[in-house]
Amino acid sequence: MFALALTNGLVIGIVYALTALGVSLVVGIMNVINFAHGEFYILAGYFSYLFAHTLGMDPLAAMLIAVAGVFVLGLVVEYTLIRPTYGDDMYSLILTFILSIVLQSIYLLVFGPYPNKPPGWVKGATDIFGLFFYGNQRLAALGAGVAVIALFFAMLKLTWFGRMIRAASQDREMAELNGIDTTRLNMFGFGLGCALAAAAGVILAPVFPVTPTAGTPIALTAFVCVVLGGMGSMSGCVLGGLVLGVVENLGAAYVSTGYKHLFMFLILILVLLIRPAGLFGRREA
Amino acid sequence: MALLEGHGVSRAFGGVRALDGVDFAVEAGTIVGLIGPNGAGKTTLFNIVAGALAPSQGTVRFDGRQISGLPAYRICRRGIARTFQVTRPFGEMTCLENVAVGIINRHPALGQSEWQDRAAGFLAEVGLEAQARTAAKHLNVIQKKRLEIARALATEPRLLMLDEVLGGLNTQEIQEAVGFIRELRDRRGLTVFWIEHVMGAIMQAAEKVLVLDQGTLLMEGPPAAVVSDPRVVHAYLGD
Repeated sequence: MFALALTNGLVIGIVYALTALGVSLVVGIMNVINFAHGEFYILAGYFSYLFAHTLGMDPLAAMLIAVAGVFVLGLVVEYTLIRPTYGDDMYSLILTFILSIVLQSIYLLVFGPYPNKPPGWVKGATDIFGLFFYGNQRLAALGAGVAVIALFFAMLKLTWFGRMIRAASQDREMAELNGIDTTRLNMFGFGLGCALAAAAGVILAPVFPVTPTAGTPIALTAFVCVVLGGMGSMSGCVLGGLVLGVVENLGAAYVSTGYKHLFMFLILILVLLIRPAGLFGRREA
Repeated sequence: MALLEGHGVSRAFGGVRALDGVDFAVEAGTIVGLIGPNGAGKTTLFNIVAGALAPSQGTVRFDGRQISGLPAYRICRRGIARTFQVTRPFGEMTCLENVAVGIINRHPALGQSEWQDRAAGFLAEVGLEAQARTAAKHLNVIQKKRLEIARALATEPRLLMLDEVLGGLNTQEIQEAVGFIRELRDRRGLTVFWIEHVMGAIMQAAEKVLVLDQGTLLMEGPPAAVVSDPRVVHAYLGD
C-alpha cells in the first residue's frame, strides 16, 4: 500500500508542481496573483476533450493545440485585463477572481455540469517491481509532467527569454534599465504561466476528468505549493508540489481520504512555522 | 549641440519639489560631474534621464530627440546606461549572465558561444574575468560595482551615467577608478555623466561640473571655478 500511495503521490505531485510553476512564474515576473489559474487548467482539459472527441483529432495533437490555445488566451487576458492594472496589484487580484467566476459559468453553460474526459493516450497497466499493477495512463502522465518541467527549466537556464525572465523576477526596474521591454515580457510570461497550467490540465484530464469547478482546488493547491516552496523559487515550487502530492496520498491511504486537504494545510503550517519564507524562500533583506 | 540636454526639468513628489526647472547640458565626449548636498535632487535627475521617473514638467533630449516620457528600456536602446549608488546585480545569476542581460539590448539573439565570448570580454574590461561563473550575490561590494559597469557597457551606451561609483573605496582605489573611467571614455568614445561625493575625484576627472542645491541648478562650470565659488561652499557648509 505504501508504494502505491507513494506512486500516486508522485503522479499528482508532478502535476501540482507543473501548475504551481505557472503561478510562481507570473508572481515572479509581474507580481500578479492569477486567481483564474485553475480555470486555465480546466479549459485545456475541455479543449483536449473537444478536439479529440468531437473533432476526432489525434489525442497528442489535441493536447498540443489545447495548450497553444490557452497560451494565446493568456496573452489576450494579459493585454486586455491585466496590463491596465500595473502599479496596483489589488486590481489584478480582483479582476482575475472575477475572470475565474466568469470562466466557470461559461464552462457550465457550454459543457454542462458533467465530468468530461479526453481519451487516454495508452491502455493497460504495468507491473511495478512485482508490487502492484499501475495504470499506464498514469505512468505516462508522470513521464509527460517530468518532461515538461525539465523543458521549462532548460528554457529558463539556456534561452534569452529565460534569462530575461530570471532578470526581471529578481529586479524588474533594473531589467528595464538594461533594455528589457518588461511590458512585452509580462505578456509572454503570463501566456507561458497559463500554458503551464494548461499542460498540467491536458496531462491530468485523462485521469481526473474536468468539471466546471474542478479548477478551484487545483489553483488553491498551486498557491500552497508556491508558498511552501518559497515565493520566487522555481525549484522550491517543484519540491513543494511533490511534497504535497505525496503527503496527501499517504495521508489518504493511512488515515482517511476525507482529510486529504487537511494534510496539505498541516504541512504548510508546519513548514511556515519553521521556515517562514518557505523551503527555498529568500528572506527579504 | 550637446548630447544630453534638459530644459526646465521639474519633478514633484507630493508637495515637495525635488527638481525645480533645471536646465542642463552634457556635451558629447566629456565627463560631466553632478554634485550637490544630500537631497539636492541628483538621483532624481538621473532617474528622469534614465526613464525610471517621468518629469512633472520640462523635457530631456538625447542626441536631439526627446526621451522624457519614454519607457526605460527604450531610453536604454537609444544609448543611455546607468549604474546605481547601491549596486543591484541580479544576485542569483552568474556574472556572465548578468552581462548577458545587458547584451540583449543590442543583440537579442546571439548564439551561446557568441554571447559568452562577448560577455567575457566586458567582464575582462572591468577585471572580473575570474568571477565569470560566480553568482553575483557572492561578489564583494567593489566587484559588484565593477559588474554593474560591465553590464551597463554591455548595453553599448553612448552616455554612461555613474551614481557614486567611488563610495567605499580607499584613496589608492579612487585613483585607479578615476584613471579607469577616463580610459574607458577615451577608448569607447563615451560621454560620462557622473554623480560623485568624492570631490577630489570629480575635480580630477570632470571637464565640467553641475551643482544642484534644493532642486535647482546652483551653478555650472569647470571644476576649479565651481569649488572656489562662495555659493557652492555655502550650499555645502551653510553659514
